[in-house]
Amino acid sequence: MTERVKRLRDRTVAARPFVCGARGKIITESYRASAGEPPVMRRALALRDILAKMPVVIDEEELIVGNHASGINGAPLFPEFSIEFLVREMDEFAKRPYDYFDVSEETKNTIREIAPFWRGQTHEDRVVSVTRRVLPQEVLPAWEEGPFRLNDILYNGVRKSAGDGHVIPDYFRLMDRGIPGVIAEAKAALEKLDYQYDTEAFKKKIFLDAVLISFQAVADWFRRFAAEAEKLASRAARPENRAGMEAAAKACANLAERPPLSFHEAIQLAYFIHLLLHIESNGHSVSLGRIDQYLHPFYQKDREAGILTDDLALEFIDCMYVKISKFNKVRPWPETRNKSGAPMFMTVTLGGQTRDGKDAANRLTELFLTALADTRLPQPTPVVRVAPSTSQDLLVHASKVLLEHGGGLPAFFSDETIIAALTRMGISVEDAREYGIGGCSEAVIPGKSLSFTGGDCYFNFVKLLEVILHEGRNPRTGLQIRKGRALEEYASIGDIIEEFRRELAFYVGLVVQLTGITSWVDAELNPTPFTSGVMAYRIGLGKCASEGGGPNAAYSHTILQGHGTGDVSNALYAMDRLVFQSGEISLRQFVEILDQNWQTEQGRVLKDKVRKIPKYGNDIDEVDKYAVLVSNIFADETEKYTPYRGGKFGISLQGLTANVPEGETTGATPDGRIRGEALSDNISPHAGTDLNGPTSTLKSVSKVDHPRFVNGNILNLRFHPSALTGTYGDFDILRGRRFADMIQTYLVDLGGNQVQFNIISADALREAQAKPEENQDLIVKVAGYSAYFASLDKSLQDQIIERTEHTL
Amino acid sequence: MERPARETAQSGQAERGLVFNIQRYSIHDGPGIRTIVFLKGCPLRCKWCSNPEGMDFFPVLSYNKSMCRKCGRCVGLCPRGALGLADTKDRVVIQRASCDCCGECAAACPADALKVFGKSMSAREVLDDVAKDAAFYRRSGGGLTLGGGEPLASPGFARALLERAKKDHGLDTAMETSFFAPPGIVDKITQFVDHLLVDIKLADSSRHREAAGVDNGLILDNIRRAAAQRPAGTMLLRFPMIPGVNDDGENISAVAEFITGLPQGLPLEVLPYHEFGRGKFGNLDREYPLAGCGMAAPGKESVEALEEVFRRKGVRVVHS
Repeated sequence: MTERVKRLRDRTVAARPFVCGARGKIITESYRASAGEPPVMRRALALRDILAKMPVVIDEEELIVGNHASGINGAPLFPEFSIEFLVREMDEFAKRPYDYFDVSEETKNTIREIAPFWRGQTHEDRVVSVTRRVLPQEVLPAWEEGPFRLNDILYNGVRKSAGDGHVIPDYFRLMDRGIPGVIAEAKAALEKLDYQYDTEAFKKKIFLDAVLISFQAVADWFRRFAAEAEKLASRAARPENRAGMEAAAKACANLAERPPLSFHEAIQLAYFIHLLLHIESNGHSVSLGRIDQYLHPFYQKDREAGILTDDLALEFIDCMYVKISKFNKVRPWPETRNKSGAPMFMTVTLGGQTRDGKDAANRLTELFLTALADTRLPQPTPVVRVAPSTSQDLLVHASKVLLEHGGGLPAFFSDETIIAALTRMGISVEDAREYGIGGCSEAVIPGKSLSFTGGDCYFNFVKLLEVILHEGRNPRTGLQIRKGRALEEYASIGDIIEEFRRELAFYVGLVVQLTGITSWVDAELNPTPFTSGVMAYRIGLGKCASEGGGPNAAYSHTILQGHGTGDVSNALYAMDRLVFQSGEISLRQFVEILDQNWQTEQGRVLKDKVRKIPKYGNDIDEVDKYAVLVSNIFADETEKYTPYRGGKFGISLQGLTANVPEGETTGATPDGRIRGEALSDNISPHAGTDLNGPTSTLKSVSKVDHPRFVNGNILNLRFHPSALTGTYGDFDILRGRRFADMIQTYLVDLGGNQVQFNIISADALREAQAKPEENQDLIVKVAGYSAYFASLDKSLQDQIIERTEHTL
Repeated sequence: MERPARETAQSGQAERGLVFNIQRYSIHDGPGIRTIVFLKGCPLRCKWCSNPEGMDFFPVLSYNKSMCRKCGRCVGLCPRGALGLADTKDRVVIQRASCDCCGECAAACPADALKVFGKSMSAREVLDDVAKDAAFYRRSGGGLTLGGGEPLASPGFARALLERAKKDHGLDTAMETSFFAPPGIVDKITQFVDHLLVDIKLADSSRHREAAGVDNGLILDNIRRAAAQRPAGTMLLRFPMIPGVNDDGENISAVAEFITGLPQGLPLEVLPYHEFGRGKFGNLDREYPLAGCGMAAPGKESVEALEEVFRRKGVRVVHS
């Protein structure tokens, strides 16, 4: 890390999060002025106004420039999505225990001023009113609007604070054509419109105009940065800052007029595009795709021309990571709890294979990894694609970075499994090989895939089982929206599993509508002309990305997540052993003990017994088979449907940090969980119950049919640092090789999907929990993202501490 | 009891032995990712032993006080009345003379503070378990490692495990051993071992007897014979560096001289002393033989210095 990067990094890390009112103000004025225009046009005009009026902020030491708020770590306002939570929570933002935001009086006034304009007009308002009309009468009482929970089983986030996100732009073409190329494409498409025979031509005209307005505004915005950088160059006291600002000014000016020609211009353009996607609609999981691939031609050319060294390339990458690290957004509190640690899920995909199946890793792959160890930041989230052709040396380097970064990055993904999952959905193998990871673990074809979130729908499998065990009643609320079966009717564990399937099928049926509503409202109220322009085929289609569809239905899918697989598997196995095999307790007695939260003498004895029953994650087929069963039921039931946006449901067993709030609303369960305890995270075993070494955990998880889960199954493992260091603490290459072998076996040979590691001892974590002020910089891998440990909910910290520590 | 060598290929699977641990993802004892199967029973009594639960040839009950919840459930359960709560109520006391290691207390212990080390298993059971990580072995060049205890002290079982591992499962095999066994047994077993890891502790016989409880004549002879017979690259010597016991110049010189005098130049790895055994001795109600010598794990500098001494004397020092 150079001195420049170090200073930039320190300033960035120190910046306190705050809410920035500028965007909120500008968009409100813009919407007032554009009343009557079609939504897509209002969006384009709003983007134009924001880019023209938002302050341009540059730190004169920066090599890469661009901002979306009036300062580092600012979260802009997106009142078009939701206004109520901003009004309701703005006095609380600064008081949150984590993921807090400073809000100035001026910003509070802005929120108060703009609130009347948006009230009743937002995405949230529309989704809620439609949902109220659509949900069956008997279900409605179980729908809690605040936390957006349906009977505690289904979370339907409505995605209140933002748009859809979840895209990777077609960076290859953008690097080739630049912003002017998109403008030219839109103009050419306008020329070709057939107003006589194409009955949709008028719509396409509006859409294409909107694209044109958006990208012209982008070019003008680049020019604003060029002017500001030039101004700073003329004032800069230090010659290296003057040179840096002059280069930045030139790059920005050039990018307004033509495609990038140098590595500097290319990486600046990638950053701008990434930033703009957030400015347009603030969706999370906007990802950078295969950056080591699309930047490589520029790197190579500049290296050959002798105008770029590896050190300089690394400095640019470091600067980019530092810039991206403080993207931030304000979410309502219940959603914040599901995604604690302020993540934006901005993933950088490295390595893997090329379109024709060859090893894609190159020198930039290594540099993008090295930069991670250099900057040691929780964001962005670089991941390594592991193909059969991936060299062990690259994985050893990645393991070293993992140790030095210290916060769980990079994560590792299986090319074989993910390509199989994508082709299974109807995507060509060549396209599939181009996948990048979006967000946590979603497989996305850059420029092509549209992963609709449909409001973020998650299923709590553990709660579902709890309701079944209460004969259809939710013991927390007392509500019963469906008739369940009497406990005496269950003659075998198979009967309970069948009921699980029936019950899950009911909620999946609801999700077809719930995800549809959010997607529809997105397209109705907040179309995305800029996002459309960076995709491969939307301009040619003349149709906004938010509407889905396209040359291949498989490019669209709607994300669903299932949570708590590990706990449900343990619960089913424990019930099978104690109720149906040995018959030492009846199901009703068991449930009575759960209702007492194990707090009776009989309950304590039973709990100890349950604790000794083998758990998922130890390579024991009799237990692991339930994880396979439950995950397959989820896949079977979701595969039956076509979501509103076409394609399929793209399912996943990853779970963000939702396992904590979901655990809070779930009573004691037969796996030994006490009431309120966090659920098992992602596809991982319940924390601290995988006791047979990492290979057995990997074996257990590999039994799940991963290619059915295109959006990924995240597995968390925690290792003591000695797994990668010699006796005296420095990286040990032999251990690195074995670690790489382990990763390759899981991802290449055993058909795993994804694996990620925290390399830290429980003692160090406990120390950090006890003395947060001295451990502000400790980063941990949470779910699909990393976050500062101090910024996490205490129960989530506890769970990370409890994760089994694999040693050697 | 040895079986005749011309047994049928499958029969060794019924051979039984006492296993006290099966440890997956082991990466320090032989190449690649390995599973170590620890066999009970060792004729040596090294003071620094890090696996005292493996010393005896019979099962042993271990009690970890810090894990214990002091619930007393085990006390009432013991069929032989061998368990009781201490008067201070802060620990369980085991009448070792009465305990027959039936394991009922361990099965019921809610905190796993009580544990029986030494489970009778057939070779088939062990290998079915070991074979679970076959994919990891294939990828990394790993396999099965026998450890202990002293595997050569359970010759029939050790041989069955190694032979079946190779023939039925195609596994790479390694063995950690003191080499304290008659040459006939060594030969019978090591023919099925791809990587031999042999300790060399002290060159002087009486000092060896003092530190490890047995003479080293057999050990040194076995090393000489193996060095003469085994293919190159299939054997590694390991020197446990125990401060104040064997790290003096005199012993180092003698060990180095022994190694450089072997018919085949064997590599040597230095394993610095660590204290992992200390707590385990306590859990067995045994005194830690090194208690009170205030010994600490040697630091990086002293280990490197020792390695350098070996190197200067012509020994090839390696790290694995």
